[in-house]
Amino acid sequence: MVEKKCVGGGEIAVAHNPCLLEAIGLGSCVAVCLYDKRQGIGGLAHVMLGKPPDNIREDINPLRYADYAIDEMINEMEKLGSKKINIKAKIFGGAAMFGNSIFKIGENNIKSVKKKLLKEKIKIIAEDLGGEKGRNIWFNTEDGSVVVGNVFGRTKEY
Amino acid sequence: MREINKLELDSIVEITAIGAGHASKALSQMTGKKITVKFPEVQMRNLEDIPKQLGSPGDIVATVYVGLKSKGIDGNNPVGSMVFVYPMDSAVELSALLLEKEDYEVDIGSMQLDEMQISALEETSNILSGASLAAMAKVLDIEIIETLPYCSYDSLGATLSSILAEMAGKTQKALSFNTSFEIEDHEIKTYFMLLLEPQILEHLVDRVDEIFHDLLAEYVEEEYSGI
Repeated sequence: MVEKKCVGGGEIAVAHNPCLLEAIGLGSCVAVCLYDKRQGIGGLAHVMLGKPPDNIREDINPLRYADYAIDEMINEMEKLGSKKINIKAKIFGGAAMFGNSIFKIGENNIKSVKKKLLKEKIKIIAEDLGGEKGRNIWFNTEDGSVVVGNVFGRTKEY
Repeated sequence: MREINKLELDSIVEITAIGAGHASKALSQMTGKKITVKFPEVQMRNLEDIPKQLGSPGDIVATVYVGLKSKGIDGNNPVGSMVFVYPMDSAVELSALLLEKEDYEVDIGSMQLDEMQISALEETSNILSGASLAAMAKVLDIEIIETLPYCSYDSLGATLSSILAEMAGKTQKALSFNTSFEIEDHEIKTYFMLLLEPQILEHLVDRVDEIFHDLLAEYVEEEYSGI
């Protein structure tokens, strides 16, 4: 049985050993899964918000924001021996849970995450984004595979 | 945000308890059943921790969001939001109870909600929020306008995080009030939560202080006038 780690909103987790990183109840949040196949190092960020304001309030957890969370994750992966050039990304989430009429957060999160990954030259090799339903994801850091499911029982592997 | 002291917090709890009481009366009228309300639990929490108070993130729920605004000179200002969380079996049973009167059959065994059920839950949430806000509006001395209710049925984490994300850029912590209703003869549970924008919360605390000081002054005056 591999180790399981639950990654909540505004949190990141990085693992070198085989580990199942899970993000349950992703709505407008985006799960960014980074994987270095060569080293077998994986990281997951549960991003709540897109672009941070110019001066983010100091008492606010910076890992809520795409830019900070992705930076921190790359940092930690590099500390474990990853090279940025070997890191690939799979991204999931960013749904509009209450329809598109009131919250634009999911859409903004997707945009920010994509922009940040482009800036860091990390290629997105799989994604399942948008829609109006929540997702649960399980990221296996042994082989980089990600299982995406919803509460109604449907699952798909990426 | 400055720290809220015990006296201020107790006063705020009292205001929300009055609101919850009014809401339960409205729900009782709608369903014709006796309602038990839990005394509200009020605490400053990290936004990330708020869903944990209501269950685990994977639980299937129907969540109804009602946005709150106030009329200002410069248009409508955000006040916060009222969120109703119905665990899925409660959502199905409550919608059946409400639609019964309209001769609409609900499939109790289904874990999906149809349009009629969704609109029944939205309508109920709207009535409950209206009933519960009067006390709060009076203390704040503002007119609170509710937006249309929106329902989403999915996991607790997915539905709540979208609402919380709306505040996540403005504050690390929010004062969350939650309480639950139970309907007699039914296993129906409804959680309800009021989230206030940081500046409204500050205004609320100021108002509570003001009212308390006025009352104290009045009391002292009365005491002395007798001498």
